[in-house]
Amino acid sequence: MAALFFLASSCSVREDRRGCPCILVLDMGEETELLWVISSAEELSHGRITAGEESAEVEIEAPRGPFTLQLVANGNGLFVPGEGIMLPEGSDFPPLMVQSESIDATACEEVEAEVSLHKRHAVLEIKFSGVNLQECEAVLESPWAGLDDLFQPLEGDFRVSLSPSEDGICRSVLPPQGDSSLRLLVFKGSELLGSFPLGRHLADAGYDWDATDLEDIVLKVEFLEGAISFNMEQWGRIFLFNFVY
Amino acid sequence: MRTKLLLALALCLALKTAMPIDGMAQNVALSTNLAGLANFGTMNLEASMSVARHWTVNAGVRYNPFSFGGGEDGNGGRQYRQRSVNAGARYWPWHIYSGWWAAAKAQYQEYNTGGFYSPETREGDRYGAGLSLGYSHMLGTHFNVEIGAGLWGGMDNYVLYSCPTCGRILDRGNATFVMLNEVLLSLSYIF
Repeated sequence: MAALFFLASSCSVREDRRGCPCILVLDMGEETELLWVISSAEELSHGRITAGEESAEVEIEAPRGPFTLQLVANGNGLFVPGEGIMLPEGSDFPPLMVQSESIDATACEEVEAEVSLHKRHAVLEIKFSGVNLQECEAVLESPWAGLDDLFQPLEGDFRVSLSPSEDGICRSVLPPQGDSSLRLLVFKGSELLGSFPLGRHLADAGYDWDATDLEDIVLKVEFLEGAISFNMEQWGRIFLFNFVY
Repeated sequence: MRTKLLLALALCLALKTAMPIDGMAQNVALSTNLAGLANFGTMNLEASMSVARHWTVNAGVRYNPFSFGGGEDGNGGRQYRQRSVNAGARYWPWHIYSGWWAAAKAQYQEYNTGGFYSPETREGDRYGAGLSLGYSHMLGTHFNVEIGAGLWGGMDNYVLYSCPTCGRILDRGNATFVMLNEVLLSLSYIF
Protein backbone atom coordinates (compact mmCIF):
# COMPACT_ATOMS: atom_id res chain seq x y z
CA MET A 1 0.00 0.00 0.00
CA ALA A 2 2.80 2.36 0.97
CA ALA A 3 4.73 1.48 -2.17
CA LEU A 4 1.73 2.12 -4.41
CA PHE A 5 0.94 5.40 -2.68
CA PHE A 6 4.55 6.47 -2.86
CA LEU A 7 4.84 5.48 -6.51
CA ALA A 8 1.60 7.14 -7.51
CA SER A 9 2.51 10.35 -5.74
CA SER A 10 5.97 10.55 -7.27
CA CYS A 11 5.74 9.55 -10.90
CA SER A 12 3.76 11.75 -13.23
CA VAL A 13 2.06 10.01 -16.15
CA ARG A 14 2.44 13.06 -18.35
CA GLU A 15 4.84 12.91 -21.28
CA ASP A 16 7.98 15.00 -20.88
CA ARG A 17 7.77 17.15 -23.97
CA ARG A 18 10.35 19.72 -23.03
CA GLY A 19 12.77 18.28 -25.57
CA CYS A 20 10.26 18.19 -28.39
CA PRO A 21 10.98 20.30 -31.42
CA CYS A 22 8.99 23.36 -32.23
CA ILE A 23 6.98 23.46 -35.44
CA LEU A 24 7.95 26.30 -37.76
CA VAL A 25 5.07 27.21 -40.07
CA LEU A 26 6.44 28.96 -43.13
CA ASP A 27 4.18 30.94 -45.44
CA MET A 28 5.94 30.59 -48.78
CA GLY A 29 3.85 33.22 -50.52
CA GLU A 30 4.70 33.21 -54.22
CA GLU A 31 7.80 31.07 -53.84
CA THR A 32 7.61 27.48 -55.05
CA GLU A 33 10.86 25.96 -53.83
CA LEU A 34 13.36 27.03 -51.19
CA LEU A 35 16.43 25.81 -49.38
CA TRP A 36 16.07 26.32 -45.64
CA VAL A 37 18.78 26.33 -42.99
CA ILE A 38 18.13 26.43 -39.27
CA SER A 39 21.07 27.03 -37.01
CA SER A 40 21.13 27.22 -33.25
CA ALA A 41 23.79 26.86 -30.61
CA GLU A 42 23.40 23.07 -30.63
CA GLU A 43 22.64 22.08 -34.21
CA LEU A 44 22.52 22.93 -37.89
CA SER A 45 19.76 21.46 -40.00
CA HIS A 46 18.73 22.10 -43.57
CA GLY A 47 16.47 20.85 -46.28
CA ARG A 48 14.39 21.75 -49.30
CA ILE A 49 10.75 22.68 -49.20
CA THR A 50 8.20 22.95 -51.95
CA ALA A 51 4.94 24.82 -51.70
CA GLY A 52 1.92 22.57 -51.80
CA GLU A 53 -0.78 22.77 -54.40
CA GLU A 54 -3.47 23.73 -51.93
CA SER A 55 -1.60 25.73 -49.36
CA ALA A 56 1.45 27.98 -49.36
CA GLU A 57 2.20 26.99 -45.76
CA VAL A 58 4.92 24.46 -45.08
CA GLU A 59 5.89 22.98 -41.72
CA ILE A 60 9.46 22.41 -40.57
CA GLU A 61 10.75 20.99 -37.29
CA ALA A 62 12.82 23.55 -35.45
CA PRO A 63 14.66 23.47 -32.13
CA ARG A 64 13.14 24.84 -28.95
CA GLY A 65 14.93 28.01 -28.09
CA PRO A 66 16.51 30.77 -30.16
CA PHE A 67 17.64 29.93 -33.69
CA THR A 68 18.43 31.59 -37.00
CA LEU A 69 16.32 30.79 -40.03
CA GLN A 70 17.90 31.25 -43.43
CA LEU A 71 16.06 30.83 -46.71
CA VAL A 72 17.76 30.62 -50.09
CA ALA A 73 16.27 30.61 -53.56
CA ASN A 74 17.93 30.43 -56.99
CA GLY A 75 21.22 29.21 -55.55
CA ASN A 76 21.63 26.81 -58.48
CA GLY A 77 22.96 24.19 -56.10
CA LEU A 78 25.98 26.30 -55.16
CA PHE A 79 24.89 27.31 -51.67
CA VAL A 80 26.28 24.98 -48.99
CA PRO A 81 24.46 25.19 -45.64
CA GLY A 82 26.81 26.38 -42.96
CA GLU A 83 29.39 27.49 -45.51
CA GLY A 84 27.81 29.75 -48.13
CA ILE A 85 28.76 30.05 -51.80
CA MET A 86 32.20 30.10 -53.38
CA LEU A 87 32.04 30.52 -57.12
CA PRO A 88 33.97 28.22 -59.41
CA GLU A 89 36.51 30.13 -61.45
CA GLY A 90 35.01 31.81 -64.48
CA SER A 91 31.42 31.44 -63.33
CA ASP A 92 28.76 34.02 -62.91
CA PHE A 93 27.15 34.40 -59.53
CA PRO A 94 23.70 32.79 -59.27
CA PRO A 95 20.66 35.11 -59.10
CA LEU A 96 20.51 34.56 -55.35
CA MET A 97 17.54 35.57 -53.23
CA VAL A 98 17.95 35.17 -49.47
CA GLN A 99 16.32 35.80 -46.14
CA SER A 100 17.73 35.60 -42.66
CA GLU A 101 15.91 36.15 -39.40
CA SER A 102 16.26 35.28 -35.75
CA ILE A 103 13.41 33.41 -34.13
CA ASP A 104 12.93 32.58 -30.48
CA ALA A 105 10.87 29.42 -29.99
CA THR A 106 11.73 28.93 -26.33
CA ALA A 107 8.26 28.85 -24.87
CA CYS A 108 6.05 27.72 -27.70
CA GLU A 109 5.04 24.65 -29.64
CA GLU A 110 4.65 26.52 -32.93
CA VAL A 111 6.06 29.64 -34.53
CA GLU A 112 5.17 31.32 -37.79
CA ALA A 113 7.37 33.04 -40.33
CA GLU A 114 6.69 34.61 -43.69
CA VAL A 115 8.95 34.27 -46.70
CA SER A 116 10.22 37.65 -47.82
CA LEU A 117 13.37 37.15 -49.87
CA HIS A 118 15.88 39.86 -50.61
CA LYS A 119 18.02 40.28 -53.69
CA ARG A 120 21.58 39.34 -52.90
CA HIS A 121 23.02 39.71 -56.37
CA ALA A 122 23.42 42.53 -58.87
CA VAL A 123 22.89 42.09 -62.59
CA LEU A 124 25.40 44.17 -64.51
CA GLU A 125 24.41 45.07 -68.08
CA ILE A 126 27.02 46.65 -70.28
CA LYS A 127 26.29 47.92 -73.75
CA PHE A 128 29.52 48.45 -75.60
CA SER A 129 29.79 50.70 -78.58
CA GLY A 130 32.71 51.80 -80.70
CA VAL A 131 34.54 48.56 -80.12
CA ASN A 132 34.50 45.23 -81.84
CA LEU A 133 34.04 42.68 -79.11
CA GLN A 134 35.05 40.03 -81.61
CA GLU A 135 38.51 41.56 -81.52
CA CYS A 136 38.45 42.60 -77.90
CA GLU A 137 37.60 40.81 -74.69
CA ALA A 138 35.92 42.46 -71.75
CA VAL A 139 36.57 40.85 -68.38
CA LEU A 140 35.15 41.59 -64.96
CA GLU A 141 37.51 41.01 -62.08
CA SER A 142 37.01 41.26 -58.34
CA PRO A 143 38.50 39.85 -55.13
CA TRP A 144 34.97 39.01 -53.94
CA ALA A 145 33.71 35.70 -55.31
CA GLY A 146 31.06 34.43 -52.96
CA LEU A 147 29.01 34.72 -49.82
CA ASP A 148 29.64 33.27 -46.41
CA ASP A 149 27.01 31.47 -44.34
CA LEU A 150 25.78 34.82 -43.05
CA PHE A 151 25.27 36.08 -46.62
CA GLN A 152 28.22 38.47 -46.34
CA PRO A 153 30.81 38.95 -49.12
CA LEU A 154 33.46 36.26 -49.23
CA GLU A 155 36.90 36.81 -50.65
CA GLY A 156 37.89 34.84 -53.71
CA ASP A 157 38.90 35.21 -57.34
CA PHE A 158 35.96 36.43 -59.39
CA ARG A 159 36.83 36.66 -63.07
CA VAL A 160 34.22 36.51 -65.78
CA SER A 161 34.63 37.11 -69.49
CA LEU A 162 31.74 39.09 -70.95
CA SER A 163 30.06 37.96 -74.13
CA PRO A 164 27.35 39.93 -75.88
CA SER A 165 23.97 38.31 -76.21
CA GLU A 166 21.78 38.60 -79.28
CA ASP A 167 20.73 42.10 -78.30
CA GLY A 168 24.36 43.16 -78.12
CA ILE A 169 24.31 43.60 -74.35
CA CYS A 170 26.84 41.89 -72.09
CA ARG A 171 25.38 40.65 -68.86
CA SER A 172 26.93 39.29 -65.73
CA VAL A 173 25.53 38.51 -62.30
CA LEU A 174 27.81 39.96 -59.65
CA PRO A 175 28.22 38.74 -56.08
CA PRO A 176 27.95 41.36 -53.34
CA GLN A 177 31.19 43.28 -53.08
CA GLY A 178 33.02 43.97 -49.85
CA ASP A 179 34.80 47.03 -51.24
CA SER A 180 35.25 49.08 -54.41
CA SER A 181 37.81 46.89 -56.11
CA LEU A 182 35.60 45.60 -58.94
CA ARG A 183 37.39 46.25 -62.22
CA LEU A 184 36.49 46.07 -65.91
CA LEU A 185 39.41 44.95 -68.06
CA VAL A 186 39.49 45.28 -71.83
CA PHE A 187 41.95 43.13 -73.74
CA LYS A 188 42.85 43.07 -77.37
CA GLY A 189 44.31 39.67 -77.80
CA SER A 190 46.64 39.32 -74.89
CA GLU A 191 47.25 43.04 -74.64
CA LEU A 192 45.49 44.86 -71.83
CA LEU A 193 43.93 47.97 -73.30
CA GLY A 194 42.57 49.34 -70.07
CA SER A 195 41.71 48.50 -66.50
CA PHE A 196 38.77 50.54 -65.32
CA PRO A 197 37.92 50.95 -61.63
CA LEU A 198 34.27 50.10 -62.06
CA GLY A 199 33.77 49.48 -58.34
CA ARG A 200 35.16 52.86 -57.36
CA HIS A 201 32.91 54.66 -59.80
CA LEU A 202 29.90 52.71 -58.65
CA ALA A 203 30.72 53.83 -55.13
CA ASP A 204 31.15 57.43 -56.28
CA ALA A 205 27.78 57.17 -58.00
CA GLY A 206 26.21 56.12 -54.73
CA TYR A 207 25.81 52.40 -55.25
CA ASP A 208 25.29 50.68 -51.89
CA TRP A 209 26.53 47.08 -51.65
CA ASP A 210 25.11 46.91 -48.11
CA ALA A 211 21.57 47.58 -49.25
CA THR A 212 18.92 45.03 -48.30
CA ASP A 213 18.09 44.48 -51.98
CA LEU A 214 20.96 45.12 -54.41
CA GLU A 215 20.18 47.29 -57.41
CA ASP A 216 20.95 46.14 -60.93
CA ILE A 217 23.54 48.18 -62.81
CA VAL A 218 23.21 49.43 -66.38
CA LEU A 219 26.33 50.77 -68.02
CA LYS A 220 27.02 52.15 -71.47
CA VAL A 221 30.65 51.94 -72.45
CA GLU A 222 31.55 53.92 -75.52
CA PHE A 223 34.99 53.72 -77.05
CA LEU A 224 35.82 57.13 -78.49
CA GLU A 225 38.94 58.43 -80.16
CA GLY A 226 41.55 58.23 -77.42
CA ALA A 227 39.00 58.03 -74.67
CA ILE A 228 36.35 55.78 -73.25
CA SER A 229 33.10 56.92 -71.77
CA PHE A 230 31.24 55.15 -68.93
CA ASN A 231 27.64 56.25 -68.74
CA MET A 232 25.72 55.29 -65.60
CA GLU A 233 22.38 56.75 -66.56
CA GLN A 234 20.50 55.53 -63.50
CA TRP A 235 22.73 57.70 -61.34
CA GLY A 236 23.21 60.44 -63.93
CA ARG A 237 26.96 59.96 -63.99
CA ILE A 238 29.34 59.89 -66.94
CA PHE A 239 33.03 59.12 -66.57
CA LEU A 240 35.67 59.68 -69.23
CA PHE A 241 38.96 57.87 -69.37
CA ASN A 242 41.82 58.57 -71.69
CA PHE A 243 43.55 55.57 -73.16
CA VAL A 244 45.39 54.42 -76.20
CA TYR A 245 43.34 52.09 -78.40
CA MET B 1 10.45 12.90 -1.69
CA ARG B 2 11.10 12.56 2.01
CA THR B 3 7.69 14.04 2.81
CA LYS B 4 5.95 11.52 0.54
CA LEU B 5 7.80 8.63 2.13
CA LEU B 6 6.76 9.81 5.59
CA LEU B 7 3.14 10.17 4.44
CA ALA B 8 3.18 6.64 3.04
CA LEU B 9 4.54 5.25 6.26
CA ALA B 10 2.02 7.25 8.27
CA LEU B 11 -0.81 5.79 6.20
CA CYS B 12 0.42 2.27 6.83
CA LEU B 13 0.78 2.98 10.53
CA ALA B 14 -2.78 4.30 10.67
CA LEU B 15 -4.09 1.18 8.99
CA LYS B 16 -2.10 -1.05 11.30
CA THR B 17 -3.49 0.81 14.31
CA ALA B 18 -7.01 0.43 12.95
CA MET B 19 -6.69 -3.31 12.51
CA PRO B 20 -8.85 -5.12 15.02
CA ILE B 21 -7.42 -7.40 17.67
CA ASP B 22 -8.88 -10.87 18.05
CA GLY B 23 -12.49 -10.74 19.12
CA MET B 24 -13.30 -7.31 17.74
CA ALA B 25 -15.72 -6.78 14.84
CA GLN B 26 -14.15 -6.43 11.43
CA ASN B 27 -13.79 -2.74 10.62
CA VAL B 28 -10.88 -2.39 8.17
CA ALA B 29 -10.57 -3.72 4.65
CA LEU B 30 -8.22 -3.58 1.69
CA SER B 31 -9.42 -4.21 -1.83
CA THR B 32 -8.14 -4.23 -5.38
CA ASN B 33 -10.23 -4.00 -8.51
CA LEU B 34 -9.42 -6.85 -10.90
CA ALA B 35 -11.35 -5.12 -13.66
CA GLY B 36 -9.09 -2.13 -13.16
CA LEU B 37 -6.02 -4.32 -13.62
CA ALA B 38 -7.53 -5.58 -16.85
CA ASN B 39 -7.94 -1.96 -17.93
CA PHE B 40 -4.50 -1.60 -19.53
CA GLY B 41 -2.85 -2.72 -16.30
CA THR B 42 -4.09 -0.03 -13.95
CA MET B 43 -2.77 -0.85 -10.49
CA ASN B 44 -5.17 0.08 -7.76
CA LEU B 45 -5.73 -0.29 -4.07
CA GLU B 46 -8.40 0.95 -1.73
CA ALA B 47 -8.50 0.95 2.04
CA SER B 48 -11.71 1.33 3.97
CA MET B 49 -12.69 1.57 7.59
CA SER B 50 -16.00 1.39 9.39
CA VAL B 51 -17.10 4.48 11.22
CA ALA B 52 -20.67 3.52 12.09
CA ARG B 53 -23.06 0.61 11.82
CA HIS B 54 -23.94 1.36 8.19
CA TRP B 55 -21.06 3.55 7.09
CA THR B 56 -17.52 3.06 5.97
CA VAL B 57 -15.02 5.60 4.76
CA ASN B 58 -12.43 4.80 2.15
CA ALA B 59 -9.40 6.11 0.33
CA GLY B 60 -7.85 4.72 -2.79
CA VAL B 61 -5.14 5.16 -5.37
CA ARG B 62 -4.77 4.11 -8.99
CA TYR B 63 -1.60 4.14 -11.03
CA ASN B 64 -0.98 3.27 -14.65
CA PRO B 65 2.30 4.36 -16.24
CA PHE B 66 2.15 1.95 -19.19
CA SER B 67 2.05 2.44 -22.96
CA PHE B 68 1.48 -0.35 -25.41
CA GLY B 69 2.49 -0.95 -28.99
CA GLY B 70 4.56 2.18 -29.56
CA GLY B 71 7.31 2.50 -32.17
CA GLU B 72 10.94 3.36 -31.49
CA ASP B 73 10.08 7.02 -31.36
CA GLY B 74 7.28 6.34 -28.93
CA ASN B 75 4.61 7.28 -31.41
CA GLY B 76 1.81 4.96 -32.44
CA GLY B 77 1.31 3.58 -28.93
CA ARG B 78 -1.90 3.19 -27.04
CA GLN B 79 -2.09 4.31 -23.50
CA TYR B 80 -4.54 4.85 -20.73
CA ARG B 81 -2.11 6.27 -18.24
CA GLN B 82 -3.34 7.76 -15.04
CA ARG B 83 -2.65 8.34 -11.44
CA SER B 84 -5.52 9.18 -9.21
CA VAL B 85 -6.45 9.46 -5.58
CA ASN B 86 -9.91 9.41 -4.12
CA ALA B 87 -11.65 9.53 -0.80
CA GLY B 88 -15.25 8.86 0.02
CA ALA B 89 -17.86 7.05 2.00
CA ARG B 90 -20.15 4.05 1.52
CA TYR B 91 -23.56 3.42 2.90
CA TRP B 92 -24.45 -0.22 3.63
CA PRO B 93 -28.22 -0.63 4.09
CA TRP B 94 -27.88 -4.05 5.71
CA HIS B 95 -24.44 -4.41 7.28
CA ILE B 96 -21.01 -3.07 6.49
CA TYR B 97 -18.99 -5.20 4.10
CA SER B 98 -22.06 -7.19 3.19
CA GLY B 99 -24.76 -6.85 0.55
CA TRP B 100 -25.75 -3.76 -1.42
CA TRP B 101 -24.01 -0.48 -1.00
CA ALA B 102 -24.02 3.05 -2.38
CA ALA B 103 -20.98 5.26 -2.38
CA ALA B 104 -19.84 8.80 -3.04
CA LYS B 105 -16.32 10.00 -3.44
CA ALA B 106 -14.15 12.96 -4.35
CA GLN B 107 -11.39 12.25 -6.79
CA TYR B 108 -8.36 13.82 -8.46
CA GLN B 109 -6.90 12.24 -11.58
CA GLU B 110 -3.86 13.06 -13.70
CA TYR B 111 -4.19 11.32 -17.03
CA ASN B 112 -2.50 10.75 -20.37
CA THR B 113 -4.61 8.82 -22.85
CA GLY B 114 -4.69 8.29 -26.55
CA GLY B 115 -3.53 6.32 -29.54
CA PHE B 116 -6.69 4.27 -29.81
CA TYR B 117 -8.41 5.76 -32.87
CA SER B 118 -5.68 8.19 -33.92
CA PRO B 119 -2.26 9.31 -32.70
CA GLU B 120 -3.90 12.19 -30.81
CA THR B 121 -3.16 12.16 -27.10
CA ARG B 122 -4.90 14.01 -24.33
CA GLU B 123 -3.24 14.94 -21.06
CA GLY B 124 -4.68 16.74 -18.16
CA ASP B 125 -6.02 16.93 -14.64
CA ARG B 126 -9.54 16.05 -13.59
CA TYR B 127 -11.14 17.10 -10.34
CA GLY B 128 -14.55 15.88 -9.40
CA ALA B 129 -16.94 13.76 -7.49
CA GLY B 130 -18.67 10.51 -8.23
CA LEU B 131 -21.40 8.11 -7.27
CA SER B 132 -21.35 4.35 -7.47
CA LEU B 133 -23.51 1.36 -6.64
CA GLY B 134 -22.56 -2.22 -6.00
CA TYR B 135 -22.93 -5.47 -4.19
CA SER B 136 -20.51 -7.20 -1.88
CA HIS B 137 -20.61 -10.96 -1.55
CA MET B 138 -18.86 -12.79 1.27
CA LEU B 139 -16.56 -15.55 0.08
CA GLY B 140 -15.29 -16.35 3.54
CA THR B 141 -14.50 -14.89 6.92
CA HIS B 142 -12.04 -12.41 5.53
CA PHE B 143 -12.65 -12.33 1.76
CA ASN B 144 -15.33 -10.56 -0.22
CA VAL B 145 -15.91 -10.14 -3.90
CA GLU B 146 -17.60 -6.95 -5.06
CA ILE B 147 -19.29 -5.93 -8.25
CA GLY B 148 -20.40 -2.45 -9.07
CA ALA B 149 -20.07 0.57 -11.28
CA GLY B 150 -19.78 4.29 -10.87
CA LEU B 151 -19.84 7.59 -12.68
CA TRP B 152 -18.04 10.76 -11.90
CA GLY B 153 -18.02 14.30 -13.14
CA GLY B 154 -16.23 17.54 -12.60
CA MET B 155 -13.72 19.81 -14.27
CA ASP B 156 -11.10 18.70 -16.78
CA ASN B 157 -8.06 20.88 -17.47
CA TYR B 158 -6.66 19.34 -20.65
CA VAL B 159 -4.20 19.64 -23.51
CA LEU B 160 -4.71 17.71 -26.76
CA TYR B 161 -1.55 16.79 -28.68
CA SER B 162 -1.25 15.48 -32.21
CA CYS B 163 0.81 12.48 -31.09
CA PRO B 164 1.81 10.65 -27.87
CA THR B 165 5.38 11.87 -27.55
CA CYS B 166 5.97 15.07 -29.45
CA GLY B 167 3.63 17.13 -31.53
CA ARG B 168 1.62 20.19 -31.91
CA ILE B 169 -1.00 21.24 -29.47
CA LEU B 170 -4.31 20.81 -31.20
CA ASP B 171 -6.47 22.10 -28.39
CA ARG B 172 -6.29 23.08 -24.75
CA GLY B 173 -8.65 24.37 -22.17
CA ASN B 174 -11.05 23.58 -19.38
CA ALA B 175 -14.17 21.52 -19.79
CA THR B 176 -16.74 19.84 -17.63
CA PHE B 177 -17.09 16.11 -17.90
CA VAL B 178 -19.27 13.22 -16.84
CA MET B 179 -17.86 9.79 -17.46
CA LEU B 180 -17.63 6.22 -16.28
CA ASN B 181 -15.35 6.14 -13.27
CA GLU B 182 -15.13 2.47 -12.50
CA VAL B 183 -16.44 -0.97 -13.26
CA LEU B 184 -15.86 -3.07 -10.21
CA LEU B 185 -14.90 -6.68 -9.92
CA SER B 186 -12.99 -6.34 -6.69
CA LEU B 187 -11.40 -8.66 -4.24
CA SER B 188 -11.43 -7.44 -0.66
CA TYR B 189 -9.64 -8.61 2.43
CA ILE B 190 -11.38 -7.66 5.63
CA PHE B 191 -9.18 -7.66 8.67
